[in-house]
Amino acid sequence: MNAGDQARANASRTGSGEALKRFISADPRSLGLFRIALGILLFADAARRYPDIESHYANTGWLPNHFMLFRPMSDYLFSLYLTCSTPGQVKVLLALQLLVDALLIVGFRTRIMQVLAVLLLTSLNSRNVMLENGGWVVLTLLSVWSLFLPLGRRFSVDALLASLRRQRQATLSELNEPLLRDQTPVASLAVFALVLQWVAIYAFNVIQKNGAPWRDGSAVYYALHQHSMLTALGVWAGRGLSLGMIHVLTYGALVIEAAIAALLIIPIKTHVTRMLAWLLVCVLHLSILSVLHLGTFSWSMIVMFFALIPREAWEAGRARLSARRPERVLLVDGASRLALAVCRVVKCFDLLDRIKFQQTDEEEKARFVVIDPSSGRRARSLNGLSSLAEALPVGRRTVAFLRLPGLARLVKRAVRRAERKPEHYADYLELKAPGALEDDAQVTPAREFFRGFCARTREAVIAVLLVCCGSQLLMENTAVPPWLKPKRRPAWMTAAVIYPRLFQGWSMFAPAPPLDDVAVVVDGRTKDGRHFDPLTGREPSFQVSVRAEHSRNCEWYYFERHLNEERFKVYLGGVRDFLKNHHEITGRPQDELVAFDVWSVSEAIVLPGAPQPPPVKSKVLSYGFVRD
Amino acid sequence: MTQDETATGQGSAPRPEFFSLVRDTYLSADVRWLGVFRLLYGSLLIVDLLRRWVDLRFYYSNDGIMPNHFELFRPGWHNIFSVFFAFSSFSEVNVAFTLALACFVLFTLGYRTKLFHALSLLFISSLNARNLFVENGGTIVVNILGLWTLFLPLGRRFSIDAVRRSLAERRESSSAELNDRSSPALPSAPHVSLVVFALLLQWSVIYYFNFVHKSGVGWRNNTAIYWFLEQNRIVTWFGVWARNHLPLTVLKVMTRGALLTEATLSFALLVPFARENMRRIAFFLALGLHGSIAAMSRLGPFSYVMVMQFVIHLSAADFEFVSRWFKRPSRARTVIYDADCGVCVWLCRLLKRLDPFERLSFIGNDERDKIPATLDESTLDRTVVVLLPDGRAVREERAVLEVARAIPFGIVPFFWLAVPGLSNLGRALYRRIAPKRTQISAWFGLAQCGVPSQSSDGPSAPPRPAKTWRDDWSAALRVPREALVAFFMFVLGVEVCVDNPWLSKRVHVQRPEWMETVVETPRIFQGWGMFAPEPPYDDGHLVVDGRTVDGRKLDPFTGREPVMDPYSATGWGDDQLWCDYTNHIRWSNNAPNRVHLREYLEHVHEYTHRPQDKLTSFDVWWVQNKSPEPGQSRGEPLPPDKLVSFGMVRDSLATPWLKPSAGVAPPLVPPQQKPASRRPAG
Repeated sequence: MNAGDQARANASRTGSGEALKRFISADPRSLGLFRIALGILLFADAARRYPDIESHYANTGWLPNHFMLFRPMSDYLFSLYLTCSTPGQVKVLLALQLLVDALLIVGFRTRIMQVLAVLLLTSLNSRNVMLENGGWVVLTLLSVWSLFLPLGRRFSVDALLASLRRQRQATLSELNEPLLRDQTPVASLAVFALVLQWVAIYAFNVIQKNGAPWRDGSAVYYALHQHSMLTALGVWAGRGLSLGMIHVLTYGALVIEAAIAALLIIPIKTHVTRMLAWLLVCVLHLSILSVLHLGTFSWSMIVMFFALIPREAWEAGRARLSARRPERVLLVDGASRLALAVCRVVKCFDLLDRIKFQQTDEEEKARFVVIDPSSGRRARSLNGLSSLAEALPVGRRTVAFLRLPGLARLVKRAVRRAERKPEHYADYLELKAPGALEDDAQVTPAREFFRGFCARTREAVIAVLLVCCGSQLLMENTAVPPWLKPKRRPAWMTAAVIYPRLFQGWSMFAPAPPLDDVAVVVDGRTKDGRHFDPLTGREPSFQVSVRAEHSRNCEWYYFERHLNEERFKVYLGGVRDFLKNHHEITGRPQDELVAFDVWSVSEAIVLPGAPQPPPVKSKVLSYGFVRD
Repeated sequence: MTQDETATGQGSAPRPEFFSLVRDTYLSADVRWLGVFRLLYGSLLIVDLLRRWVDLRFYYSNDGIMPNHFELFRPGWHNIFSVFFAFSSFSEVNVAFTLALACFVLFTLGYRTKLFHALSLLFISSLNARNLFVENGGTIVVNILGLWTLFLPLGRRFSIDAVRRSLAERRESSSAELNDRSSPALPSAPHVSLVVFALLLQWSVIYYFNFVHKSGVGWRNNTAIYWFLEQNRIVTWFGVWARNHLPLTVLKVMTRGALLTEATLSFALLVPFARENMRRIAFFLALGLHGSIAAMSRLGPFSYVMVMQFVIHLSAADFEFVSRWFKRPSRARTVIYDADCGVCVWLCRLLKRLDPFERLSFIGNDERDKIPATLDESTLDRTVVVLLPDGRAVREERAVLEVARAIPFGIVPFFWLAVPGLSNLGRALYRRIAPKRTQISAWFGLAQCGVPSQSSDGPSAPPRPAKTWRDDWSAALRVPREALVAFFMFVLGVEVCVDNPWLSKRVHVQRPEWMETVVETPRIFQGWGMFAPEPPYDDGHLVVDGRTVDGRKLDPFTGREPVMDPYSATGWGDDQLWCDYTNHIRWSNNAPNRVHLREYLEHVHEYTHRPQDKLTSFDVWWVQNKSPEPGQSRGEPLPPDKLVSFGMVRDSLATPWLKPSAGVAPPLVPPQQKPASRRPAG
């Protein structure tokens, strides 16, 4: 960023357009942190599906790829995972997805990784649409909208390499000048789209929570009795919380959701309102997370706010952290190519500008020496690295791993060798002489034009996507009056929404949470005559509440809840085959079933004191003949 | 020591001659020929994709004869994998084909060559696996060649990557620097790798087993080519001409010649002496053999890919020989360019990279002493001038054309500048753009009119250090690369033992499941027996005896009335995809797949947008005959096989062929009547 850009940035901070500009802007540091959080979330989401590959994503499970293609659960379905038949093939693709997510976290070739991450995430979700849930949709939305944002501009490998290419300080005095880091706010419709999306989620969730349990304050009670998705804390809460507390939590949830929507839509003092909203989001969703397995839903809702961290927070944080980090002086030979290169790398990591560079004296020439100016103490080699790291934002932890046995010895040897033959290593690394360095990162008019063209195209695409999602929002939500719902829309708009699964129906536990608890029970008989339920690994139990003891994840919850629905009846044949062959997946031939009945057991959730009606059992499918 | 030094043996102790012989004979490939190979192989991929694109709906979408779900449900082979399985509808498959085309084009041009080579291999093997009914030996050889050459540096020369590397290495700013062809040095050291030997061995294996498996009567009595040409399914017009005009004796000589050629090729590539001549002989033998096959039959990419591989093994001397054409003195041009113009200088730098045969020389328009006096200042300021060998000077669009002529194949994108009428357009364009060159230079941040560029054109790069991290990185990659090559050689070697009856009878090999997966997933089988042990002695093709909604008789694949005569004097003119598909669908073990053919025919009127062609009933027949014996005008017809039915075809045209009534001959097509070639409709 040059002086002209800085001046423009400063000027734009004052003036009437400031509020609007801030509403659609994001700090690149926030985007960098958001990228790391999103990458971790994507990685964790993909990794947690690994144990269920055989059941839900491969042909060993209940939904083989050929049947999914023969009878797709949705129009406009596309998934790379449909090319994979065996568990091995699925694992290879999933490993690739994990690699992409890992590279996204560190910010290597960020733009490409963003695209691949979205493609692989939507492929994974589209592979088995019956398990689709709000968490999947929200994570996809988060990934798609952020696709249009430059997430690699800060705190990334890409940013580090770009900085090293762009700013090649040739002297110590140049090194001691503050580094121009990219702090130009990113103004884009994508930021607006993210904010608007989150407003829509909370607003419609509040509006559409108009069922009796929400009105009378008992909704949380019903949620805490969905045993298949409860955590251990959820089980305790469901049993232990008083009705009064339940009312507080229910109304509190509604108030918080409404407040979040309101805070996000306020266009003034967004640096305060958005952080307040974030606080409420954390309170709400961490509470939900602690009691319910909802997959990635809660984390996705929280992670979005990393992108909205305001400039003021960064500057305040920087000031505070800077005060806590000590200064350090690195003694270098200003004529050495290797030393200058090392200094430039150190400079990139010195976000708090706590490190200064001085010309070394003849005695210590070519040695790696770090001085603590407050005490005058000198440190060398690995100790020097640790001392230097204290000046960095994360402190010594940055280089703690270098002290691992084996690695420490290697580091010391490398430092010694570099100190002995700096010119040799400068040649080896093809470092240029200080005088010959060029500043070749100037932006040419052609490059400006190209960037401008790409930016305009990008904003146009976002606008089109906003329109498509907007129409979907109007069509999907019951709270929208019929006269406002579009009667028709072009097929391409429908495809634009459905292919990436950007649905917009926001009714989590709305209009009311499920008033019954459902479990699927497999009443099976093994070859050796045992009663066995392969879904639990134990004897079949028709007590729905017992499910809480071995609840798995939200995907299994939705599998059990949807299994008895009419629209999925065509897939029951696959479920039958899956259960018949389940012993091959577990590798326990003694668990092979010779006969089973699959029941959907629905138990009404009643408030304390009310009589408990008997559970309703409906047989979903059968295999063989279960005598007893 | 750099890789180049290792390859040329410089900077090391003298190696024993034996190792040098082994290296030079079996392990080395000229990087220039690798670049040429990439252009040829990439073009083959593009053409192969385009020819399939025409019939995309029929072969590759769920509207056609092989829906993805059915292929996954009832795979034609174990360990099938194809990215095209993820694409179901016609539109989706079009998107997939577009992605594949983009990869093939970028690979051909040599942009991020390794990456797009790997993606191209993924796409082409996926395309072949998507519909096994149209797979043949040629598609398998394409996969194999793509795999082996993945280990070769195909982008080192004649590629966008090479040009970019060269532009970054040196920033010329004067005519002296432009004319200095020694810098940047073009990579010319041979590439040394085990994969070169793998390719030699692979092709030798192909020819050897094709030779030994041809043990049937037809090959022993030298009539195989005769029977081959009687295959109306695959024969071309030239093959028809050959069978009608060449006497049997000549065909017998051709048969014997084909066998001898295959036998020779099976060892010619491995002969360690007179290597260059042996490789040339092998190349021309292959060209003759496969050229004849391609001229006389439609076998898809087989012939072309078989010849292509030989290019890799041609020598530096062969390249110099071919270069003579491009190095003709008549192609020399002198370019007088605007030395003050940044974009002009940049274009000259680019031309220097595109001119490997050094036909262009450069003079700045400020070097008055080198410029003919007949050219005045205003001309030199206004336009680029090109001096021809005969002393003429041309300007403007003509100059551009002459520069293009000097560059290999440069005339291809610029030929239109020589066409009357279009050349005026070229001149108008030049006159519009040339005066703006200063602005254009500024726009790209290049030097203009004495103003240095934003990134200054610095002096030449300092001499490269003896050893850098790049050398260590290349060396580190070499080991796993060669290990992977050795691994594939081992796996495919075992596959050779399993797939070829001649060897499997003598060597019994039990291979583990993972080895089968390694071979079957990318479809790199090793069973070599084209038209072996016997040539085919009968022939046939698919006929749809259909009845339209308006009562017409229609075969939707020809657009005409069905013709049940199994014989054609002029060949059916069908393409390889159709030939292989119909040849597969007639087999009884593929009967479950016929339901999709039926469904396709039920909806074909929708794809052709001709509602009047809607079929209310049809029978699909495999009509067949024995190939005519030498001296016969036509072969004995065999009863047709009904493959699929829909509705009730009352007046079936097949009846006379099924049970010829006494005295009533089936309706034969006159020999001179050329039948309509078959292709999928829509």
